[in-house]
Order: sequence, then C-alpha cells, then structure tokens
Amino acid sequence: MDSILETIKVRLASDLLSLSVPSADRAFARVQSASIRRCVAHIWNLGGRLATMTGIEVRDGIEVNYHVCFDGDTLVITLSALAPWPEPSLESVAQDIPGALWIEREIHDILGVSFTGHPDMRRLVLPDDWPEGVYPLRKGFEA
Amino acid sequence: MGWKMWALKKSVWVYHVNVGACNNCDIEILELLTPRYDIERFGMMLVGSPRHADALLVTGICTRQSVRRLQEVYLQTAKPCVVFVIGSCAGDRGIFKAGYGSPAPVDEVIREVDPNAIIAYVPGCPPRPEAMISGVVKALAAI
Amino acid sequence: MKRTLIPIGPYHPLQEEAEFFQLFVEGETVVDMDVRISYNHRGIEELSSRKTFDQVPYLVERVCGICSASHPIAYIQAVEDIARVQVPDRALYLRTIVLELERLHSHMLWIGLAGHFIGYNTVWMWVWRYREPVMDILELITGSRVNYANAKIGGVRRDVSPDLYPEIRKAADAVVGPIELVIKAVRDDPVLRARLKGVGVLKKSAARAWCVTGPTARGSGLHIDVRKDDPYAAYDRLKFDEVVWDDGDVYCKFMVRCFECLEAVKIIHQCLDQIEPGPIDAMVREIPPGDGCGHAEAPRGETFHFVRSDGSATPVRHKVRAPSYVNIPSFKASCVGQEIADVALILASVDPCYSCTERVAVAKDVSTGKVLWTHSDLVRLSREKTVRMGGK
Ligand code: SF4
Repeated sequence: MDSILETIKVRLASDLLSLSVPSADRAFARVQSASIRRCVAHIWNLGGRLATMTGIEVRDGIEVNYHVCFDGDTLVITLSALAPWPEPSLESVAQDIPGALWIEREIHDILGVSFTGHPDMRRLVLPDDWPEGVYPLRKGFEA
Repeated sequence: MGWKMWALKKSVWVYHVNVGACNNCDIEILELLTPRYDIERFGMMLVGSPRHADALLVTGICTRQSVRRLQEVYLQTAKPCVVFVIGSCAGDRGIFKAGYGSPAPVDEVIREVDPNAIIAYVPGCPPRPEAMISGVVKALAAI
Repeated sequence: MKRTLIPIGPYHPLQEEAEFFQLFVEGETVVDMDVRISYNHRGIEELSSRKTFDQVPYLVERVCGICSASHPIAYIQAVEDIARVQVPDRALYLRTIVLELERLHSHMLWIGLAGHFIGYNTVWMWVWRYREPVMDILELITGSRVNYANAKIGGVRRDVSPDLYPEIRKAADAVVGPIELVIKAVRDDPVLRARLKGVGVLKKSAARAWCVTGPTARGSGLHIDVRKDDPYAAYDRLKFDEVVWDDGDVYCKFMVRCFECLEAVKIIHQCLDQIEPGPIDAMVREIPPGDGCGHAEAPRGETFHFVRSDGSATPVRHKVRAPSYVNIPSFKASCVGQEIADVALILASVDPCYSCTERVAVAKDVSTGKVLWTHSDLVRLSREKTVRMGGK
C-alpha cells in the first residue's frame, strides 16, 4: 500500500494539497477542485474502485469526498475537493466512470452541487413534487 | 353491507403494497406464504393486482413519492376493503418520524380518500408472522 | 420496428429507495432502459445527523431489512475507525457469526425467489422452509428474527451462551444438504441450465466500469470481497474461499451465491471452534473529531459508510452507500439485447431486493398510452419460457 500512496503522490503532484494517513488502511487527501476529474481518473487507472462519494456542507462551500477502494491492497483513499459558494460546482467524474452517474445525481439533489459535463442531471432520489432549490442535507433545512 | 362483509370474511385475498419499508416487514409477509406459516390454509392468498384484493397489507412510512400511488391502489380495490397497516413504520412512521421522508402516516393518507376506511394495525418492527396472522383474525372477528 | 416502453415498478423497496424501471423494447428485445428511484427515499442520512452515535445503529439497521447486520457493522467500523477502538476478540467472533448467518438467510431467500421467477415455485417454498432454522437461531442469538440490534460501537450488546453453540452448528449444518441439492439441480437440469446460462451477461470490463460489488462482481470474474480485501470482524483469522466465477451470466451469479452459503457454514464452524470466553464490549465513551470510512461485505455486496465527527454526540455527516446502489445501474449493461422474458430474471440476479415480486407494474404503449403489461406478466413470460424449453 505504501507503493500505491507513493505513486499517487507522484501522479497527483501539484494538485495534491495535503495527505494524511491515519492508519495503514486509510488515507485522506485534499486536492485542487479544478483538477478533481484528472485526480480521480489517475487513481481509477491505478486500479481503484470508486465506492461512493459524499457531499458535506462546510463553511466555504460543499466538500465532496470521493472514496476509492484498492481491493487487494487493503486501502481506502478519500479524495476531497471543495465546491465553493455561491454556486457549488465541480467537474463530473461520471464522464470517465459510469459508476459515478447515480451518486452525482444524488449529490445534486440533496446538496445542490452541479457537476459539469454530467450527461443526465435529472432528479434521482427526491420525489417529483419536491420544491426546486430546497436541499435537505444543507444546514438550516427544516423537515 | 351485510352479505358483502360475510363474503369478505370467507377467504381474504390480500394485496401487498410497500410504500417505503425497509423490507423486513415484507420478508415476513412473504414468509406467511411459505410452508411454516402457510396462510393459504385459511383461504388467504397474496394476489397480483389490487383489483382482486379484499385487503391491503401496507408496509413502510409512506414516502412523499408514494402518497398518491397508495391512494390510487386503495381506490382500485373492490370495496369493502380492509387495510392492514403492518409494522411500526406504517402505523406511526416509527424511527423515521422526525425525518423529511414522509408527510403523513399511512392511515391519514388513506382516510384522505376514504374517511370510512376500515383500518387495522399490526405493530412491531417487524411484527412476527404469527402476530400478523393473529392481527388479521382479530380484525376479521371485529368487523 | 415499433418501439414500446415498458415501465416496471415503482414499488420496489431497496435500501433508501425504490425504483421505477423503464424498458424500451423492440419486438421481444430490450434496446434501452432507464431507472428512476426515490419511492423509498426516507431521508436516513439527514435523520442520522440528529441521532447520537449510539442510536444510529438502530436507524441504519432499518436501511435494508435483509442486511440488518451488515449496515450497522459498516457504520460501527467507520466510527471505530475515528475513535481507534480495539474491539475485544469475543465480540469480533460474535459479530462474524451473526454476519454469516445473515448471509445464509439472505442467499437462501434469493435462491427461493430466483426459483419463483423461473416458474419453480416448489424451489421457493422448500428453500424458504430450509431457511427457517437459520431464522430461529438468529432469534435465539439476538432476540429478533430480522432486526438484530446486536452490534454496538466497541463490541456487541449481548453475549451468547456456550450452550447455544451446538444449536448454531446444527442450524448451519442443516442448510448444507438443501444447498447441495440446489447446486446439483442447477448443474444437471437442462431446462434450468438453459434458462440461466448465457443470460444477462455482465462483462468483466463493464462490471469494473459500473463499480459493482458482491456476488454481482464475483459472478463477473472480479475479485472483490471486503472480507478478504480489508478484513474486519474476525475474518482475518478464518480460512474461507472467495467464490469467483468468470462468465458474468445469471448462472454464475446463482452459483456464486450457492457456494457462498457453503463457505458461510464453514466460517460459522471455525468461529465456534476458535471463540474464547472474554469481555464483549470495549466501553467506548467519547468519539473524537475526525473522518472514518467503514465497509462490510453484505450478502449483496459492499456496504460503505462514511462518518464525520466533530467531537459532539452526533455525527456531522453520515453517508450510507448500499450495495444495490452500485449494482442496479449495471442493468443497463446486462439487460440491453436480452429478451423481455429474461428481464425479470436478470433484474433479480443482482438481488436488488426480493420485494420486486409484489410490485405494481403496468406497461403502456408509448404512442397510444394503452396498458399492455403488468409485472406479473413479465414473471409469467419468464415462466412460459421455462415451460417451452422443458417441452422441447
Ligand atoms: S416497521 Fe420496522 S421492519 Fe417494518 S418496515 Fe418499518 S423499520 Fe422495517
């Protein structure tokens, strides 16, 4: 797994803002928002499997975490990129990885991040009669 | 509705609607059909269309998206029709009560289209198959 | 040729969401499909941030009833990942036993339903009957047939008395015979083989592209099994095989599940051999701030949980990714080009959830809006095909 982390460091180079390795099988990396698609593609090409993505509202925008598992190397690496206010948006990784099609639509639904280049941004998890522009996982949302 | 009620109680055909359940209630309902519980010995049968049904088994918290569909299904059944509300979710939304997922419990949704609907509750999370059988028997004795 | 749209659904409960499939067919062949979920969206992730760390396992248990051991385990591992907890050995073994019993019950449930889909209702009835001892033993261990509330952060909630060990062994052994029977039947019966072999192939490359997990991936030749790849609970101390079949058709997925049942029985025996008396709970008091990922191999595939804590009593964010969430989009790759009669079976082969049998399903002709099909028609078509093949 060390070799994978080393390779990742080299490949991501200047896009990598910080990397923390709290234990032998977990790693968390922050990357430049503008190059997220390239970063995820690098890791994907190394044999990683995109398990899922998590959107979290933070002070400066919406942070999107990409969880990639290296099966066989006992490593789960989480790349995170910030989609800043007022109109959070990131480049879509679903263009390279079909497995990300749904989760990007979901994050769009519940947190309002738009993924540029996503082929099909229709509503996925929220009901048809849900009001536009209301995002249930943002702070300040009341049920 | 004298003779209709009499006929209804003879052998109840049920239609199962899941409006946002976690599946446990549903597995337990299917369990009823299998050899250990075998409800067909009471003349009860799971049917494939609400139009054939004397009773509805409703499970789940009735998500926003399902509200109209549940009402539709209820309207399609032959009247008189008994609605069995199976599980804590359907009864009072259980653990999901505080969430944004469901606007109203199942009984309110049904009463909205038919204020006189016959509704019976089988609480539990999930209720054991025995509890469901006993619930159905008691409800039929009461009407 | 005229294009017809066949909607299937929407009543199909699955984790947080139910789905609504739209099949586009030309004649008998599926040319495209689309899935709409949301019917079962209960807002679990939002609810979870209003519960305390200790309450969340009860909530995630109710994400999906059939994986009600795996989801809490994945969540708990994510939290333990943040808090760096050393869980006592006995608790790890007890978790493993419940997880494997769950796998047994879930796979048997699926085998039964696969039988139902291809018109062998006898298989359904019998397999579900053989599944009952497993449910009973789960009830004896945890107190409930399906919602176990067994694992907690730092250990497990209830101990298992050694008096129960022989019962557990007996229940596990009881399923071996029936499963072997099913394996033989599927291998030797020409009709069953014909119905399953070469149907709904998900190629290895497609499986990787869609990021599928679990038996769906292992049936397509991908070596993904969290129990091996990132061992949790007691799996690193147990010997078992990762069942991988290469062809990607429904037959392979069927076989993967059958053989996994046999592996599960082996695992349960080993756990009972190795388990020793000791504490069952590490008594975790505080969850420090931080991020944690936890994943576990549920019967249907990897369930992935991500938790962020800020040091308070409730998680800031808790993300749940259930296995079917990645497996279902892969239908697009496996259904296109197949016959409608096989679709019910292909959809079932990733085991999205058993409840698809009871969905409302109606099909409309796109141009006229006339109702053409119901979901039971799809199942009927599938059965008729079996009958036709048997007659030949
Ligand atoms: S009542 Fe319990 S078992 Fe039934 S659907 Fe709700 S959460 Fe699941």
